[in-house]
Order: sequence, then C-alpha cells, then structure tokens
Amino acid sequence: MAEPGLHIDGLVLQDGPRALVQGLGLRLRPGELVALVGASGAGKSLSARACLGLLPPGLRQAQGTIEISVNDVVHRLTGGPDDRLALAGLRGRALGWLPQNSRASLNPVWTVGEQLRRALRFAGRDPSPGAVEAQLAEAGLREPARAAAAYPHALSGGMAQRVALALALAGRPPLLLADEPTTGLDSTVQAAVMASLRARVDAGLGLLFITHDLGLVRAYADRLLILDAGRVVEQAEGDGLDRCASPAAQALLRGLRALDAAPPPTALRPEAPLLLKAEGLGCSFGAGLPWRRRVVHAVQDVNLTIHGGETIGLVGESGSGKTTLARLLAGATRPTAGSLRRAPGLERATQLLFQQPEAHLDPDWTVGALLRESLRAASRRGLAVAEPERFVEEALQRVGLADKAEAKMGQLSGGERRRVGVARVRALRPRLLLADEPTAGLDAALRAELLRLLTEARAEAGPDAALVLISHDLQLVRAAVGRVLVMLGGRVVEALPTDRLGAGPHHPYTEALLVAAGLRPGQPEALRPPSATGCAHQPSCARATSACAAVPLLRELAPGHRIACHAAAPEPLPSAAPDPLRPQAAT
Amino acid sequence: MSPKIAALAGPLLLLLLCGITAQLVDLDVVADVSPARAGLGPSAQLWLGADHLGRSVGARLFMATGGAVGPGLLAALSGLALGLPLGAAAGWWDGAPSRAAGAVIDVLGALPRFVWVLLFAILYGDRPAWIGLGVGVAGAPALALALRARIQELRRVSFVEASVLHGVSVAEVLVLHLIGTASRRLIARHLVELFVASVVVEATLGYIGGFGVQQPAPSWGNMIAFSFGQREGNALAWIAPAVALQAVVATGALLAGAIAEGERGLGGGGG
Repeated sequence: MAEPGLHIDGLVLQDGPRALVQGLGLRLRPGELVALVGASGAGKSLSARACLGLLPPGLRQAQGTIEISVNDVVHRLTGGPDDRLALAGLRGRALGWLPQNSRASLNPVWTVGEQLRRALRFAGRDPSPGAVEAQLAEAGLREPARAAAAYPHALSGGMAQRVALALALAGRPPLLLADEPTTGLDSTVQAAVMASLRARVDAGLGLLFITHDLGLVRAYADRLLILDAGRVVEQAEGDGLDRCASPAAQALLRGLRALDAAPPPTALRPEAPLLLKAEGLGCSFGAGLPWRRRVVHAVQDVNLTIHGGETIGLVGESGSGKTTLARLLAGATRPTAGSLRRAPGLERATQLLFQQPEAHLDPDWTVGALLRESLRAASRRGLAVAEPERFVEEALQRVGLADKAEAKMGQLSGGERRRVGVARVRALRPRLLLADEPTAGLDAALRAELLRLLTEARAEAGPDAALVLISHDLQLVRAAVGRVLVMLGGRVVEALPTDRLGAGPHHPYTEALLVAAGLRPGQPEALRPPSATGCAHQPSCARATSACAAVPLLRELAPGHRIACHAAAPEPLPSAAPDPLRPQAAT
Repeated sequence: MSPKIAALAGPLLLLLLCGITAQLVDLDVVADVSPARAGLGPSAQLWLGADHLGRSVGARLFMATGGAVGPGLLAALSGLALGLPLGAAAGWWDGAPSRAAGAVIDVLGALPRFVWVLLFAILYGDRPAWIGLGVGVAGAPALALALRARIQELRRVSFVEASVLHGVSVAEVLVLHLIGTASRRLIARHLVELFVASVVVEATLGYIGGFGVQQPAPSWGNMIAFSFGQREGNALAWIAPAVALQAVVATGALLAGAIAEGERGLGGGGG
C-alpha cells in the first residue's frame, strides 16, 4: 500500500527546450507543513501547478512523476494524455489549491455563499446555508453569515484569503497546496491566516506552503526545501533554516539580514529646512448608494511636519489611511479639512512611488522609453540632462536592469518593475519622495535591494531631501527610517523615534503590529475592524474602558514619543501645542 | 507586429503600390477598342484575356486599382483627421468640450454613409476623391466614438494619474500613452475598415453608374457592370474585378480582426 501523501520524483518542466524545473523531488505527508522556499522565478509555483495540471500554456511535464496517494487510491501524473482522468478525481478532493491572489480566483458576480455552496455540492457534501456558514467559520471568518452574503469585491484581503481557504477545503482534501497565501496581507491578518493553516495541519492536513517569507518559514514550517533555478538545492527541518549552507539559502538569508544590517538613517540636522507642515489634515469622501450615503473619513486630524533630510515611516494595516495621507502630501488628493503648507517649489519636487508599479507604469512602453519620458519631465523642471541616452544607460545600470532597456513593462517581474519605478523617480531628484509599500510581495533580498535604491535616490537628491516610507512591514520601516508614525482609522495613534520601536510601552495597536511582525513575543491575532467613533482600536483592545468612547489625544510619553491612548500615557499634550509631531532634532 | 497582421497587411500594401503605379498608366492603353481581340481568352500576351470590346482585362483591372485605392486612402485620412481630435476631445475632457465634440459626432453620425457620399457628389461633382471624402466623413463618428470610449476607460487607469503626478504633461499622456500606444490598434483597425468601405462604395457606385469613375476609364464596379451578362465574351472580364473586390474586402476584414485581437483590456498588458 502506498504511503499517503504527495510524492514528486524527478519532475522536469519545460518551456520549449528550456527546463524551468529540473529533477524536482518532494514528499508531503498528511499532518506536516512543508515550505517550498526560493527567490522569485525559482520554479516554486510552477511545481505546485504541475501537481494540479494547471501549467501555463506552452509548458509541459517532460519527465518525472507526480503521485498523490489518498484513501488507498494513487493518482499518478506523468504529463501524458491520461492525466486528465487522474486530475478529474484529484482536484479539490485529494488535493486543494489556495492561490496567491485569492480575490482574483473568486467569481466576482456570485456571492461567497453561492460559490461555496457549489463547491460543497461538487464535493458531494451538504450544500445547505448552515453548512456553508460552518465551512466559512471553520476557515476563520468571524461573521460567516455576512461573509456568505457578500460579493468578493466587498471582502478585505484577509477575508478573501480565508474564503479561498474555505473553498479549497470544501472537498476536505487531505493535502493542500498554498501559493504565497499571505502575500500582500497585513502582518496581523497574515499571522491569523497562518495560525488558521497551522491548526489545520495539526488536525491532519498536509500543506505545501510556497513562500519567500523566511520569517513565516521559521515560525510555522515542519520541513523546508530550498529551490533555486528549478532544482532543490537544500532540505532542512523547519528550525534549520539558519543552518542552511547552500548558496541559494545563503542569498535568501543575506537578504533577510540585509535589512538588519542596513545603515542607520541619518540623524535630523538642527538646521534642516521645513519642507512641509500639515495641521488638522483630513480627507473624507462619500460612499455607498445615493439613498444610503455615508461619509468615510480616510484621514482625520493629522498634524505633521517633514524636515529636509528626514526619513519617516508610516505604518498601519490596510485601510488605516496611509496611502490617502501620502496622496495628500503628494498633492494627488485634495484635503477636505485642515491645512497643508509646503516649502516653495516643493509641490513640483515631490514624487510618489506608487504601490503597484504594474498599474502605474504604461505596460506597453519599454523601460528605456519610460526613462526618457522622465527625463523630459525633468527637463521641464529645469533638471535637463546633457546626454539622455547615456543617462538612461547609467540609470538602468544603477538599478540592475542594464539589459532591460528594450523590455516592455508588461514583460518584467514585480521586483524589476519596482526598480524601474525607482529609476524614474531618481531622474527627477525629488526633495520629498513618498514610497507607498515599495517592497510589498518581494522576497527578503529584493526588499533589501529596494531599500538600498530608495536610500540612494534620497541621497542623490541632496542632503535636504526627505523620504516617507509607507509600509505595513515593521521590520523594513525599523531598518530604514528615523521616525515612525502609526496610523489607525485615519488618525496617527503613535509617533516615535525608530529606536524606541519595540522598546518600552506602546499604543495597544502598535503592540499588536509588533507581535504580528515578530518584534514582540506573543500570539498574533487578527484585529477587528476599527471603530468609526471614539478610539478606533477599542473593538480589538484588551485595555478598552468607557473612556475610549472619546477620541484620545496624543500624549507625550517620552521626548519625541507620543501616544493617543487613554490607557497608555499620563497627560494629553497641551491643546495649544502647534506642532505635536515635531521631530526631535539631533544634537 | 504579429505574423498574422504582417501576412494580411502585405496584400493591401501591394494593392496600394499597384494603385499608385496605375496613376502613371496612360488611359489610352486600356481604353482602346480592338474588335479583333474581342472576347479573347487568357494568353501569353493577354493574361486575363480581353473584354467584348477587345480591351485588355488585366490592364484595366490594374488601372482600376487606382480608382479604388485613391478614394480609400482619402477616406482613411479624412476619417482620421476628423475622428481622432473629436474622439480625443470627447474622451479626455469633461463638460463643455466633451459635449461640443459629442454634438459634432452625433451630427456627423446622423446621416448614413451613402447619403454623405451622394451629398458630396451632388455638391462638388462626381470625382472619385469626393467618394473617399464622403466615406471618411461618414466613418469618422465610429472612430471618434470608439476612441472616446477608450480614452474615458483609460484616463481613470492608474498609470495616467501616475504619469501626470510624475511631471509628464497632459498632452504627452494623451498623445503618446492614450492615443499613440493604448489606442493605436483601435485607430489602425478603423482606418482599415474605412479604406475597405471606400473601395466597396466606389465599386458600388461604379456598378450603378453615374458616379465615380466613368467609362471608358475602368473601375472594378463598372468593369463588372459592363461585362456581366455579355453573351459572347470572356467571363474573366467581370469575374476578375469581382474577385479582386472580394479579396480586398476579405483581406481587410481579416486584417481588422487580427488587429482587434491584440487590443488590450482596461489597464492590462498586451500590445
């Protein structure tokens, strides 16, 4: 009798004559979590897709076998025409699939409940509304009835991921392939999704977890395989990641350590000029149907000054108002409350590096054409370049894309597109650079590389150039900036120098972020949606009191460290304080 | 450019070349009546034989391409000159400019293609050029409407806003990104359609008689009308122009379809 589980032996996947996966061997048993780790393009997703017959057009399984043994039935895939029969009994029933972009995998015109009902019926299980809600609750959704009635567009990223998990497990498959299931999620949601998956593994599920997040591997994996250029180059137990010696493993670990080894941000000079001052800044907009109009306060009452040479981190979960604040600072969105004063000429010298470069750079233009366009824009701002072609060549060399000048944006990987975005921004030498989630979805090595490029871009623009880094990655922010602002519900709930991050008391929300990021011990939990009235954190706060019904003011806990929490700090700042977030100048 | 588009564009470019070269041929060569050759079949000297008046079918067919291609080019250019600015204005701006451009598009689109052609012919005479101009004016609204929809769809896409914030001028974004890159296939498809429509209209008017190219000068339409039904004679005299016309229509339709296949969706890749 075959041992239950997934057994891949000598798998070779080819795109024409080119082998993308070369002789992959892998074993996954029920009740274990095996992490498949590797840099982008290592062949992780392709290997998993081959197990489900989901290879992209043009790719084929040239050699090797994939055996899935479940309930004493062995499904064998060899890349031949007979695979279709094996796959019919395999997908959803023996082997589940949790895709990377869960929202895109959901049908946008069916409710979640309808999709799950069909999946349950397909699996021969009870498709009643009660069973649907039970399945959603099992996947970790707090309000399953509400989730069942919702359409995919109304779900948050974490909810969509859990709905996808519920769908993947509808047929009760004993094995699950999860392709980067937490990419793009907030750290608290990410931790909750992983905890939910780990609980399933402990209950007997075999999980192949594809990731480039080494932190998650350390925390959750039983075993790990490191894939490099389509080959397994090293295998280890879950806690053996740091002892891996292969060059690929070392490269991944170097990327992880590179963040810790990043040079500390330069201290603020006392004579640094004021670039921007926001007072009571707010941005609201109407939402919902005309007869059920409600006002959404994306940013509320933000006071902020940015001085030349500063590096500031804006952190918070999705929907906390980080991006809207960045857009306000960049002049892309008009404030609906408060005032925003900029140093002369700063508006034209501000650049916003958008979160999704694939959406923010014309996919039909070549990299070289996009850079030349930036040079034209720079020329209009009095930053003309004598030899544009040479400049383009050098700019691409600096970001490691020397051979990509003629490549179209649509042909580049996520990391390469981001580097093009940085190269474009560098051409304009901005005095204020706002980078919105510049490293989301990238592996550790690419994150460190992007951070280096951003730091260089700021340095090139001069000593009075400032960088605002928007991220939900606290480790990145800690490595890159001198001052951190934590946002929740559109408000700044904590402002502190980076060296105090993780040390001393924090706002309970910051605490939750630190725990989720592994910077504080504790069990990470998914946070409830923020409250629209009073303290936004009160639905998730263990320290909430009746006082939290009122919006807390920022109170000074230590020099430069301010917290908006009724429970955390002694006295509120004087209401007349003109600049409560004034950074502490280095002496 | 995809091989399919290249393969389909090739014959149309050849047709254009023939059309231009045909303008250089002396009309007397194809108009001379020669009873001795009447109704002759294909031979080494007369590849497609002669019609019932003894005129070379091959030479007349070649010369008729001039009458087809000239108005076709004029139709494409006039449609582009009119449809492009109207569509761009209606798509990019809101308010009065958009409404004004929309009103012009509505007025132009209110009359059917043949009415426009006849109107031009009545007002300015029956020269083939007016046929092309009429087809172009009548076809401009379709191009403008498609371009308006495309630009309205794309101007909300993130890269447009990002480019403007980056410091790229609005004119550059509109001309280089939205029209030059994102809409180039759409424009090319409409130009091919206008060209083919003009060839068909010119042939139809030639067949009906009274408008367009007049005998003894050849057009594909009047060649068919003149030779079809002749009891004694060479059937190729009407089959050849009919096949040429069909070939242009089929190639144009396939080319337009191939171009449309590559048109990308909202904010997506492709091209």
